[in-house]
Amino acid sequence: MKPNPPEVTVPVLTRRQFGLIVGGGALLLAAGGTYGVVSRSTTNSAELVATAFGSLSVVNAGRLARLDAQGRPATKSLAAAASRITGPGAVAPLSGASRPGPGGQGVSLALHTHDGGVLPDSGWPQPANFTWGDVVLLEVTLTNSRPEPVLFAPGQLRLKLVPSGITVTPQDFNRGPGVIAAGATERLWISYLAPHDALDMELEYSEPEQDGTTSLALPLLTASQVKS
Amino acid sequence: MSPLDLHINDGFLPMVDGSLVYHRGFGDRRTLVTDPRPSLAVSPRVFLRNGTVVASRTYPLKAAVPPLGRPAPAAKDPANPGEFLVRRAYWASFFPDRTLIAETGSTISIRVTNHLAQEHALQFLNAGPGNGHVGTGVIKPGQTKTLEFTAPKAGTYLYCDPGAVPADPTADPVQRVLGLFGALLVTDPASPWLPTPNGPEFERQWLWMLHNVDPVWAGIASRNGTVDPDKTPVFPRYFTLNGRSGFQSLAASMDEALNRVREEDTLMSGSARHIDVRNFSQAAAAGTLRTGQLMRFLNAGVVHHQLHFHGNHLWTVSRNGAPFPRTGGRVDADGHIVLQQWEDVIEMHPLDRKDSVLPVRRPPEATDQVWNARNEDWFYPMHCHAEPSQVARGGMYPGGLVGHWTVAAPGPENNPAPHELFRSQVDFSSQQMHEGSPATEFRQTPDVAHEFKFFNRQMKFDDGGEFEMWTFETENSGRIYPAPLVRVTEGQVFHGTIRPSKRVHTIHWHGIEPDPRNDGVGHTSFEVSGSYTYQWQPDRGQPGNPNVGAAGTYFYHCHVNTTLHVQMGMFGPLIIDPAVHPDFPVTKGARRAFVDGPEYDIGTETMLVPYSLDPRWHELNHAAGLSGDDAGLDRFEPKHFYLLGGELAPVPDKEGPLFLTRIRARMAGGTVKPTLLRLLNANYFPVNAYFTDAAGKRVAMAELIAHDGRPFRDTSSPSGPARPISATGPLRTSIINFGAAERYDMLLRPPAPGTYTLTVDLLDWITGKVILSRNIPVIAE
Repeated sequence: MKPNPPEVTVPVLTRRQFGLIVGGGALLLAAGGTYGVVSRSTTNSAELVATAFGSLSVVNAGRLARLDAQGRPATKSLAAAASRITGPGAVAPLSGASRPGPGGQGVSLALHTHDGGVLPDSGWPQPANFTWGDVVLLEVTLTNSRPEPVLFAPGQLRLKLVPSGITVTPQDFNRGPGVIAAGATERLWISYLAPHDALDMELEYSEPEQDGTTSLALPLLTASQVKS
Repeated sequence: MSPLDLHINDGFLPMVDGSLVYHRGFGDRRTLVTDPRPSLAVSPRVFLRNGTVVASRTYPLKAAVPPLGRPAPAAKDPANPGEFLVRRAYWASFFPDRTLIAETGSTISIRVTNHLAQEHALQFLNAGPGNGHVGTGVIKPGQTKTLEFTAPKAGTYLYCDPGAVPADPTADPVQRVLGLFGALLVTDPASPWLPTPNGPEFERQWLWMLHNVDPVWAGIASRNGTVDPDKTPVFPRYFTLNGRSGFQSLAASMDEALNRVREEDTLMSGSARHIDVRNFSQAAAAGTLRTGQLMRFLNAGVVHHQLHFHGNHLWTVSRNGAPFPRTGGRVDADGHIVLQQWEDVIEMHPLDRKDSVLPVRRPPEATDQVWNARNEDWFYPMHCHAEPSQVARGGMYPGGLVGHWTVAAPGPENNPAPHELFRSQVDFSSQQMHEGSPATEFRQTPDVAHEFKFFNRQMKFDDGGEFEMWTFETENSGRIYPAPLVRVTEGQVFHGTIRPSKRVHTIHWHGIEPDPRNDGVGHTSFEVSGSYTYQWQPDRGQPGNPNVGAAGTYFYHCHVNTTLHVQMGMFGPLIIDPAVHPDFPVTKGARRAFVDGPEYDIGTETMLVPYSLDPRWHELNHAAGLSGDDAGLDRFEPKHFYLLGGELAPVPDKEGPLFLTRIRARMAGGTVKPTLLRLLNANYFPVNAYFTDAAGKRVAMAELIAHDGRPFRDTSSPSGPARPISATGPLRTSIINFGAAERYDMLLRPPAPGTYTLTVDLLDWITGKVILSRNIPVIAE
């Protein structure tokens, strides 16, 4: 591991030096500039999916740039990222977004070769190590309808890229593995890295004791450019 | 005396990706499957000779506890500036959960209650009379049984539920994979810093349990189903070291309590010291010692692991309870060397137990200027080179079976420095530090310098297969594969400048041990997007000295998303030649393998690189898996198998893959020296290589002289010269078994002129069955 200076007590990414590759070349912002796009659904319209213990739904969804204009992580915590979706300074939600139909744009992650692949023309900085430059952020509600507590871990929720079917491990979450009390409803923020050209995505839920998975469609999270 | 109560429980444990996976285990209290913190592993307990059982994470009980696991040194070593003397018989060692410690002469008494719905058992492997197993026998659901036996001889042992065939625990690994396993360490309380009366004496010790987790097997078991390995072959998706993977294993998570435990019981560290493998009990002053730290490895999983240590080679002293000799030695029937030796890759078959000494000494290829200027901890990775074990759920390299060790910053106050922490494995995998074109510190004028430019192209192989390959080319090499041979002489300053083209890469000089900046690993230094000149200087050998000298066989490879990039072809051979010593002149047309080693024929020196290929992987992109995507990098299914390499004297005159199609073996005699064959396993799976004659009969024509860049030597004299084993009792064999990233050097000694056959079998990393096979003629002339 790389040692840190002793005075750094919570060294969250402070020494990161991401390279920048900016699509279009004209999108550098002043210090602190961030990019993001939000597509937000509400509890009224959220799709509810039945699980063995009750139900889950996605009540907020956003898509943010992973890096700021200087190529540093755009947010230092999940809470900070969530506030960009729901807080006073949230970027505006997009309206009228709809899911692509059959034949819509998909992802071609598995077919890029070393030099054949190109960074997507993203409109926002992309990591020079060719990891994904978008963060998909979801707020999920979980309702335990059982009369006893149930175990739950955020890693049971994976982002699924359509149509490739590739699933993605959570990048961060604000609630670790534990129990959901009987009859309780809990809210969970969870984030994933996503490729910039992935539009159609689902949330895949697997129950530790069950075989198979359940998928929940996500609202369309386009990657148009918004700066704040 | 009261027995130790163990409870066979089940429950769900969080994996490195935040998911829950069903486990079973031997806990120290009863818990239910719904318990969010199930008791599936007993915290360390000590069976004392006086009949009591004590809960303690450290042993010896009254010894000083090293802060954060790191022993402070006793004093500066007056004979070795920049290095320290360690305290003799002073520091306690921390042990991980699942460890039971028994003093020799004690009685191990355990009362086991099975709280599950299936029959289970507790069995200590090889801990009974005659190396047999000792266990409870079947424990029915709800039943309690007591097992009592006398502690076996000092050493490490595995305990587990042996499954359906208790006499052969390898036959049914299901319960072990589900988590019903642990380790027993037996030690003599009169000499707790000695694993055996003959040593090696150590500063402190570390116990590493390797394990694999299969969520599909776990799911079947959680539903009270029966796992049938024939119908559902095991497919591990998580690979653990003392129960943790990836950033959690490396103490780089935001969980400070977990990080502390990892530092204490899993991640080795200490001050640099001088050691002599001939005598680990060398005392420089009262209460001090020149020795290293003892590693106790146990493989409780089903995968054939290959533990590669950066920074220092390890000195291996025993396997499966059998101490290795210092003189003579032999190759056993399976093709393994039985002799104390240096290794940078520790081969661990399922259920294997090995003891090795980590020297914690100056990395020998760091230049003097860099070494003398260091003022911070130097971290070195340990990772398994069976690379599918380096990911979690198909991606997130390095998210599998990884660890590291640390050479402490100089000085008596050497508490571990804080290091970077991460919120998740995805962050750790996707945010490796990279720099454009960092400077080479204390840059010198090189004796040998090459530029390594990345390229990719479709290459056609000798079975008609055509695949996208990524590798390096140097100035005049042409676009060959493997990447061009690098050849350096001991003592020369080497510069290797990487130019990664459009992406981010590194070069790790596998087995060469420079400072971390020149070691080419992202999470201990940086990845390179522009260019960087790696600098190192191979250690000079001295005749009869087993502690110095770098002459031997190595390789170099990219260490970015290594699981993928090495399979894509980003590696090449590296040879260090000895400088000629006046006492060991060299015959014309010959060269020595190491400073006082045997001579070999330059004209027929040959490299053999077994390499297997999974076509699916060759369609993945540069950063596959690093963002958390399941890229299937834990599923390596080789469809093609090649014997790459060739004679080293001629310069390759064509591009594309270089195949070894035949070996010319000199009939040695007079001024004609034997042929040297250098083996490098570039697979992720083990191979068997064996020689046969025209009738198919095995021929012991391989004389093994070195392993992982270090000669085999007779180290039986504590202070006298350690002569090459080739001069004292040659290690002759017809077969060698070796795993990923291991190298062997052998002189070919055909009994008579004629044509022989070298067959190389690629073995499955779990079942050990032959997957693919190749053979080539060996022409003795």
